[in-house]
Amino acid sequence: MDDLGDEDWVSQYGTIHAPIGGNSFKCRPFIHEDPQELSLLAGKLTPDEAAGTVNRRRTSGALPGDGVRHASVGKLRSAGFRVWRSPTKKIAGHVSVMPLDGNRPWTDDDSQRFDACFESKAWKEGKL
Amino acid sequence: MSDLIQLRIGERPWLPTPDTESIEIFDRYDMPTSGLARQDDDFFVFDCVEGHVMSVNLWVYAQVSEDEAQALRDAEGDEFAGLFEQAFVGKPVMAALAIDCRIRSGSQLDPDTIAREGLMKSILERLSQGVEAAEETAKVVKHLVAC
Repeated sequence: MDDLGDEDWVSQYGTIHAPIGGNSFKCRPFIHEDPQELSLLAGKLTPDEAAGTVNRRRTSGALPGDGVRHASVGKLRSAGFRVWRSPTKKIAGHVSVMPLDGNRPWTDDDSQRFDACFESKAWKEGKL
Repeated sequence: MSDLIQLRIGERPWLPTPDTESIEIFDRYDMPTSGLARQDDDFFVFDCVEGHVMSVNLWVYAQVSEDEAQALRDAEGDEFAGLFEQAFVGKPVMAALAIDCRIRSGSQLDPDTIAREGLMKSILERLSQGVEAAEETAKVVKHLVAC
């Protein structure tokens, strides 16, 4: 599969409902996990598209309070991250991101630089 | 040979006991979300059915034969999706609730209930039973604490 260009967009799926780590969008992997990478989705997806992509049982899309945020691949790379396509059996557009200097625990600085790359957010409206 | 996967409280859902061997991760989103694992000579598929980006998530496990396991590993696209869904049909399924990627509880789902109500309704029914039981227990404990 072709690599991502700097002009390509990626999306991160998140939620306000008891999110992992307390943040609506995860900004670092669990410390004990290997590899130390986060998951993104290729393209500028809507909350419905992201929810259905990550969980195929979400046939009606996102729940109210689910959201996505978008970043350009070039901005992530400029901020010191490696970004590459890593398709899974069910998520053809799966993208991985980790610090350029390799598979190591993310620092607070890594998380802040990662968060700062995202330029827009979209939320699924409504009440759960 | 056991029909049901063994779970241990505190373990990661995709490696539910210290002796579980990960054979293949089929899918991931920040963590392995579906795949194939082995306990002794038995193969099991696992799947995160809800809560992929939440601190609480629900998982299901079902045993597959060695041939089924190989077919899943070889398949792609729609063929894989179909085989994966079938892996949870007509057999006992174990469900687990995990918090912060650690198993907190598990319960067997009845194949007849799954056939009649579907997998997600079966999980909801079992979850509701657990919530009701926990609420009753909390009332008793609250009473004890007040004494």
